Amino acid sequence: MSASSGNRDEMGRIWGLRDEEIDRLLAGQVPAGQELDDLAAFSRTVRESLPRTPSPAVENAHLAVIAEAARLASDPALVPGGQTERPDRERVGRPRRRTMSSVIFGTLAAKIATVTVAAAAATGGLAATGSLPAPAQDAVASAVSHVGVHFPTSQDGEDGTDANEDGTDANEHGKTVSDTARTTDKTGREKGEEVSGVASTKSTEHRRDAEHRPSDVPANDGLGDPAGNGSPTVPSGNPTGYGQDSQPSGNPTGYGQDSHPSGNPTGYGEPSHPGGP
Amino acid sequence: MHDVGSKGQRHDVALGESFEGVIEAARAGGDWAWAALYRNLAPAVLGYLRAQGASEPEDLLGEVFVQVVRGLSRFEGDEAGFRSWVFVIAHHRLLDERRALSRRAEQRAFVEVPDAPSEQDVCQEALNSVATDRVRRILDRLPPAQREVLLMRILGGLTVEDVARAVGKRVGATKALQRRGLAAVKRELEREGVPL
Repeated sequence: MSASSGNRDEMGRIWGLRDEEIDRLLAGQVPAGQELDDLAAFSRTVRESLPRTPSPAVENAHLAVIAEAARLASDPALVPGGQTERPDRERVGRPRRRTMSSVIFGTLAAKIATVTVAAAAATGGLAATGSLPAPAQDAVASAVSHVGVHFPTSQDGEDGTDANEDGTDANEHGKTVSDTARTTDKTGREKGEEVSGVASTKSTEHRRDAEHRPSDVPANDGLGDPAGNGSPTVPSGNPTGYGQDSQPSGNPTGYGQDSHPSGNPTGYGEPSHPGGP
Repeated sequence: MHDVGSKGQRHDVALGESFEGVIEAARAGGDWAWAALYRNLAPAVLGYLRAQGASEPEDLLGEVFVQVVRGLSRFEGDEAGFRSWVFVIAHHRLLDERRALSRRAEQRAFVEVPDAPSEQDVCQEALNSVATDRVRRILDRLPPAQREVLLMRILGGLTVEDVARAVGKRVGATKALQRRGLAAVKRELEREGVPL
């Protein structure tokens, strides 16, 4: 049998399958009466081996951003024309949440604010100053870089241009950012812009320093690899080392400690905000 | 829903009866609910993005979930529907990334960058590595459109109709792509002559 006739046979066999039999194959099961164990095994292998759990540092960075975005999205005070302003009016047309989404995420400034607040809140402001452990610092710098905010990476401070040896300068600035995030009376976008502004004062200084660094010092501004040559922006070092250091104490998001409230045996199913929308 | 009882299908209903409560809590901004949704879906979405050759799969994963936060209020459906919806978002973010890369003329070939596996993954990785490598090679040899359809169906658990909507093709054309893809996979498996 020639290769081409073999191919036709294969195609004929696959094309002869009913849709339900294709579904079973893709689910990793062999359709009755068909000798297609290899294809079923292929589907099972794809399903079981390709998923990849994000590293703890990446997961923490993602969850911090998600949590802050979700908090903003569920805050009725951010909804112009929401229930507090039009309690009796029947809403028609675009749903309220669509309006809310456009308010929260409709502008680049809001996106920048959201991510910056999340990063500052999740790290107690230390990320803005490059004071986190290296893996966590790089992860947060990578996350905020996508919205155009510069946080230093672990490599940025290696030339000693940014902080005192004991990190006093950076820690002071981190405390300032953290305090701003905690104590400001502003909310939502305005809060984000204020925190972003405080954080970026140090980042601006840092970037200025980086621009003046000697030519033999490799620059890494945390904005990813502009050449696109595949250098990962999130470190892929020992993931087991992330768990302890990437989560500073006092993490206001509560992730990494106990994301499932005690008393809920499944870990799910108990809304944390009863009576929410 | 593909609740056909195989081990590989379990993740379609991983949250099960608690799904509605989790979604409601997520809508209300519950951190634990978002963590549950993320941990339930992120591995498969990340696997999909990597197998599709995303340049920065972990960054894209974060963007996918921010998009999910933005759109959750408009989502209606069960857990399988939610999973499909998240994968459609992932697919669109992937297209966005490819467009951005092509604008910068930096399109990269599908390069599998091995993760540093977590501790619990190590044993399973060792056992599955040969089969996994073969599967990756075979997927890499498929035409992109066939690979896309097969991955969204197998890894994402999307229905043919969902995939057709996501990729902007007719249902008939999508079915043809998956059949051609399966035939190509079978040819590759038989050519290598070693069962998975």
